[in-house]
Amino acid sequence: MIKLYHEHPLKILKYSAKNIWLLIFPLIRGIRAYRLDVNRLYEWFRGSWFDILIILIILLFGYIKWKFSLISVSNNTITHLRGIIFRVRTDIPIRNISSVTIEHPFHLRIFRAVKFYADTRSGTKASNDMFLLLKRRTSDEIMKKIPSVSRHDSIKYSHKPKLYLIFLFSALFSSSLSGIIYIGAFFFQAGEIAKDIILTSIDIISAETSKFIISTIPPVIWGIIIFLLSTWIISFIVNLIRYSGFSIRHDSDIIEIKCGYLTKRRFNIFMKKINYIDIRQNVIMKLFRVMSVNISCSGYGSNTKNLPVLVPIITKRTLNENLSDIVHARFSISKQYKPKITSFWQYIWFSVIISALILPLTSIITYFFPPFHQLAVFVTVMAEIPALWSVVVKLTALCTSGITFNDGYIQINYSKGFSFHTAIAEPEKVAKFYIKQSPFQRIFKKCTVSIYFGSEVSVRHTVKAIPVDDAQKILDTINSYR
Amino acid sequence: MKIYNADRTPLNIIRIITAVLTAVIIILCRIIIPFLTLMIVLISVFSATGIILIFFYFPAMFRNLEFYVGENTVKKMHGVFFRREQTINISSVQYITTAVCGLEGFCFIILNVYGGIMILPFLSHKNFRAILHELEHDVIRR
Repeated sequence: MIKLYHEHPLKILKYSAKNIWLLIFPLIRGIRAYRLDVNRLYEWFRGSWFDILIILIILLFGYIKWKFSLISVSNNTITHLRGIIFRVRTDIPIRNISSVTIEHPFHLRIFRAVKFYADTRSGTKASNDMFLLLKRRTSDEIMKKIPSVSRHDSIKYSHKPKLYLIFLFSALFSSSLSGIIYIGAFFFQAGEIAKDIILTSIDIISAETSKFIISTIPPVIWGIIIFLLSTWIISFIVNLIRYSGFSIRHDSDIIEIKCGYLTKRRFNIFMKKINYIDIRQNVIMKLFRVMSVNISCSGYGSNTKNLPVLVPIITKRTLNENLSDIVHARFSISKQYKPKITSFWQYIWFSVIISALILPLTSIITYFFPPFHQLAVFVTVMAEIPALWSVVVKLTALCTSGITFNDGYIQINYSKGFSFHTAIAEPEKVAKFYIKQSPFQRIFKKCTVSIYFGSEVSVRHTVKAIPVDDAQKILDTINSYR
Repeated sequence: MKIYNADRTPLNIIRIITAVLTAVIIILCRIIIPFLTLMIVLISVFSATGIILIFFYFPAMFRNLEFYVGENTVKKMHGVFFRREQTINISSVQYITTAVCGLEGFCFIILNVYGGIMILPFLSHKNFRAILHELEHDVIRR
């Protein structure tokens, strides 16, 4: 007989109302203002009985929804039944699951609650196919039915990077933009209170810094510098916490990845469901000949804000040894089909034009707003640095991009934004092959080749300035594998 | 290949809801808008939209909704102004989500396939059970 489980009772709050937790702020204010007095309590109750009643109804509604939410697991499927009037039933066959994620956030640990995510290769966006908030015991019962790396003697590969590598990885993959997103999320969730705290802190810090540093730079510039620096530090700290304790091990079918000290995460990835391997580098990593190995697999690195990392930092020397151990693929240094060095303009034209357009920015701002001359110089310099950096990245991409067939795998080296990617997969997994030719490319018999692998989210792997004949040969080779 | 049609019971419910919503919007226009010409124009537009939806669009939508369940494929024909055909391989269905309500005709089957979904809406309980029986065998117990 199939046993039915309920979700964790904490889910009642989630079902009750999306932002019911925001009531905590007026509650805290109320507690601070309250003085212990029975008469005052009675007066307060008389005044707000209707509000309390509404909250109780919201909670009752959440309780009923929770009561109607049932989970069952058999040897073949996980079933989630929910809804009161509309009974919605989701049956996921276990053999179709790509990855399962178990998350133990630190704030839920005292309630012994865990978040359970199951994903398949279906859908068009990187959302989870099944998300449940479970009691730890229920999660363990469900995990017994899902294949995992359990037997110690069956483990074929095991790796736990040293702490300094995680430190390096967190530093390399931190950005001010991520920090701004975290702050944005905090703003969004905690509303005005968080906004006030952050803005006041920035004002105080920038004012204090201007006092100590004798300079003609106005406080607003210090404010911007401090803001960017602090957002980078926030992103770095978040990454460090997220990837601390990273470990990977696998047997013949399943890859198990564990990471995080504050929020512990465990990913069970079904090897056959991996879409492709993605080796990522930036210019600094290229100089030091290190790289980060990622994978594309539904559910891993999609909704948990984790990068889909397999090996955080690895040297070029040990890459092939590790790749063949984990996924049997090999990384090839030589490129079979690559752009010629004479095609450099196709790679750098956009970055060069942007750099040239930024230069007169100081004069324009100063002409219209003379008091803002210093700020204009600062903004121009700050905008010019990434633009010129982009030219360097694109020139490096010209020398490193290409497409190679190696040991039954297709390898695509290309750049996207400021980073370099190497996608490796079986040619059978190519879902779409796309050739684009601009009028200029037509003159020089070149084209842009874009390759898509079958995956939940459509990702384009693009190599520019490939000779048209080579593009046809690439397509023929892909077809020969089918 | 078996052919299934959408149940027409929800059509009347959708028509009643649309009629009520149209009436509410018209009353609001009458109360809120101070300019007579603008009020008449808006009331005319909303009334015409309501009439077209109730008497032409929704009946055509239900009439054109057909599902073909074969041995290997599921095909959905739909659309009012443009006839659309969506076909999926049963072998590419990863999992099934169903939504059932006590009211006849409010049964939905959502087939989650590689790179997308196919929704089979407004099925009668009998058709719902029949389609599910055929698909469950291939998807879940495969």
